[in-house]
Amino acid sequence: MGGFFVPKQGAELWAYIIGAFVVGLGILYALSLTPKSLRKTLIAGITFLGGLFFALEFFWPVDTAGPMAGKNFLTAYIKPVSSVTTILGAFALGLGLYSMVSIHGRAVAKRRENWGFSAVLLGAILAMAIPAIWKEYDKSPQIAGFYRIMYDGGFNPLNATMFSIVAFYIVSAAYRAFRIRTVEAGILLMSAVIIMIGQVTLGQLLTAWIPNENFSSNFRVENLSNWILTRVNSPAQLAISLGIGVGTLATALRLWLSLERGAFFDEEL
Amino acid sequence: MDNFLRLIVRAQRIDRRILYLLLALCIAVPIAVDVPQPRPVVMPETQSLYNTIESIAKDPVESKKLAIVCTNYSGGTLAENQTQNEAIVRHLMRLKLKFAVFAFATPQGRELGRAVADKLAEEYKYVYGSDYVDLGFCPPDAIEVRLKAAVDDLPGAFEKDSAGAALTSLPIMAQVKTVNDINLIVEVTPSETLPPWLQFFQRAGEKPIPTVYCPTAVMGPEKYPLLKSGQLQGMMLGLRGASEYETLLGVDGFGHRGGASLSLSHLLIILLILLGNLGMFAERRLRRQQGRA
Amino acid sequence: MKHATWPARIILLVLSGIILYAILSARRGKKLYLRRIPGLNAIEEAVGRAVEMGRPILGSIGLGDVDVITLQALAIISSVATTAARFAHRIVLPLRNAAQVPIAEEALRAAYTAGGRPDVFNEQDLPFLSGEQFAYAAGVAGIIQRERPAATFLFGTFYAEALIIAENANQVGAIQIAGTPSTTQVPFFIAACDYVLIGDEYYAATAYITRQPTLLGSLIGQDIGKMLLLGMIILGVVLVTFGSPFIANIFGDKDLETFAAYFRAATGGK
Repeated sequence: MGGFFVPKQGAELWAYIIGAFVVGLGILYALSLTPKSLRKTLIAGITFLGGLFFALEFFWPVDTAGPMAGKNFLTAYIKPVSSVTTILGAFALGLGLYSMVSIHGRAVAKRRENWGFSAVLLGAILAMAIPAIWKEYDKSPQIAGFYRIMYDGGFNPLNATMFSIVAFYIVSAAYRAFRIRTVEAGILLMSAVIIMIGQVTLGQLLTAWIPNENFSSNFRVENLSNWILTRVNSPAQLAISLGIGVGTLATALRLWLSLERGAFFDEEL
Repeated sequence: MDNFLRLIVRAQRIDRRILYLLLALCIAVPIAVDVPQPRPVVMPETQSLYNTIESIAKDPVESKKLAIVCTNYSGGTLAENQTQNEAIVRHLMRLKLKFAVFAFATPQGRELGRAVADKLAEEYKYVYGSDYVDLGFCPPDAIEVRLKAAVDDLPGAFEKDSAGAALTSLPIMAQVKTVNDINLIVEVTPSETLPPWLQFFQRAGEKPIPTVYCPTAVMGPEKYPLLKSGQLQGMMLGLRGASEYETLLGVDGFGHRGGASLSLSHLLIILLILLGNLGMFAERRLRRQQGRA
Repeated sequence: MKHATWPARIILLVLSGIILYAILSARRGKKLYLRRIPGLNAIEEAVGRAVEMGRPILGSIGLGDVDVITLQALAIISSVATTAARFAHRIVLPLRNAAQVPIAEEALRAAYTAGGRPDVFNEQDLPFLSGEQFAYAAGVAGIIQRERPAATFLFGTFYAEALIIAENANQVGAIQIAGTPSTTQVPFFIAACDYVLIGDEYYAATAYITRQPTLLGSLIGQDIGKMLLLGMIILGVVLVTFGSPFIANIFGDKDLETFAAYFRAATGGK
């Protein structure tokens, strides 16, 4: 694999960074000059090559003995590809940040409707990002403390609050929608009630007097609940997974081979 | 009778804020007031998780290897995932097993996982770098390739701990070179983060690595088939699972304390669903009566 | 599994072969039948209602990365956008993954162009909200309460935010169509939405809406593949029942068998 993928230090590192930047700009410039008709072929080609690397690495038979045991000729490149994927992910974050700041920045600058919300959002980004970055360079307890206030006192509780809203919505959705209009709905309701009771200690107490051995154990609510989860739920989950798995394979094949003719795959770019 | 039916029908149009208030009370009151409650029945999947860790500790070769505790949760699911994580880490520390904290779904997961390890380390005299290590955060887009790379060169794939120290410089990593030096994978998560472990890591070595799953209650049912197939060796299902695990460990954590809230809220939901259905039947009956009149 | 085993290689090759053959047959003009999927029939109705009410349409492509599920979701939303474009109507599509932003912009611009109204497309309607799950959920809930969409289309990978989004849209009276391969979230969508696509209906959606031969052929190929797998399962069950572990030996994993012992021991050997 050579020394190209080995981490560099000092001046050599900077030379590589500047080199990568220049080469990247060059590629972007060359791409902008490419005729529109050729762009589609280029995208299809790059998509195919990207997919081919992973497909070949996974399917190509591996050596069974020797220094390359358990590896094939592509395995060594997995690590650099891992780094490239990480870097591309980081670029995407920049894109997202740009989208967010440009939309909300414009809203504030032009005093659009609800611009106050946009201002709060931009303020919140700064309030969280500044101490988070600062604490990496300044190890003083004040900065760490401020960061913890923002993180433990602000971010975490807000996150937990949003998740806890799910519980409230389950109550209103279940109350509104869980109606026994058909036999199937009745069976569904019965199963749901058994599982809900079987999951909690108060429910388990209802049948705690039944001996948990031999045939009688089948009538204890936690065992009934477990039976539904493992004997009814499991096969259904497997069947759905099978269908989804084959569906994923088909979609992946269409994307990889650029056979897709969706709204965004067949348009002139 | 008609008045009763009308009352039930009217209850169907109850303001949703009243329902929300009832639920909030059902959850908050038992936490604020310590309600005594029985221990839960331990389910097979929880028992199996416990047995798995116990058998690793009893094995003279396996017990020397490193466990990976992948904490892929954020502040939103602290109640379930943090309680599960605490129970697992406590068990590992009790048995003197070495472990690594890692996350790839959210950077918060690493911080939260590390915080639990640091907190319990004081109690069990665990030393960072010798008994446990923080492998840091890997962006979700890169996890599959990162795990593939870690199969043959684990310290090379992760390179540094979260503080920037080279992994090879830490004593805990002295014997950890490849996938074969891992004895357990623990996935604590509220989302679909198990597949990369099963696809690219669990069976990449000389023999499969025991893998256990600690999902939020809603994510668990999907993974029951994996217990039978042998791809999972145990599962701690939500807060209920954590409570069962605490029973096995003989500790009183949030899993046990939160049990009463769980019981009451489930009961409330069942009652409301029944009330809603009664309302539907009452409405039909009233309509029929009006039709006849 | 770090590398494919021989049975995995053969099965994937056979399945891929079947799917590709079906696609090529369909492209050559073979007539194919597709059963009715009520949720997808309701798309026009939902868009029409939004136009009548003069309120926007809200879409979400979920929490996924730029993967197969998300791209499928984007293809469905693009079809909705083409229909909306015919009426010069707005779609708001808040995004959770930064990498989705350029792809979604490109897809919706193309969809509005295909619908004949590229001038109606507005990049501001595709805001990136946050990479954090619940920050995204809060953002979408806020948009729903402010914009009061008349119709919502929720497709892609969803977790706990599914109910937060769907229930908020329910509160503002939106007609809702959802579809996800995340089976754990299907019950929540069923409780809060008007139409839900279940399981691999999700992957049939674009074929159903667009009737493009490639997609129809792919769907038929998938069904043949599933039949093949089902046949193998039934054959395996019959053979094992009569004492021949032939198929079980091909696909079984002896190490995993030893492993399953942990769980069997915990369940008392059941």
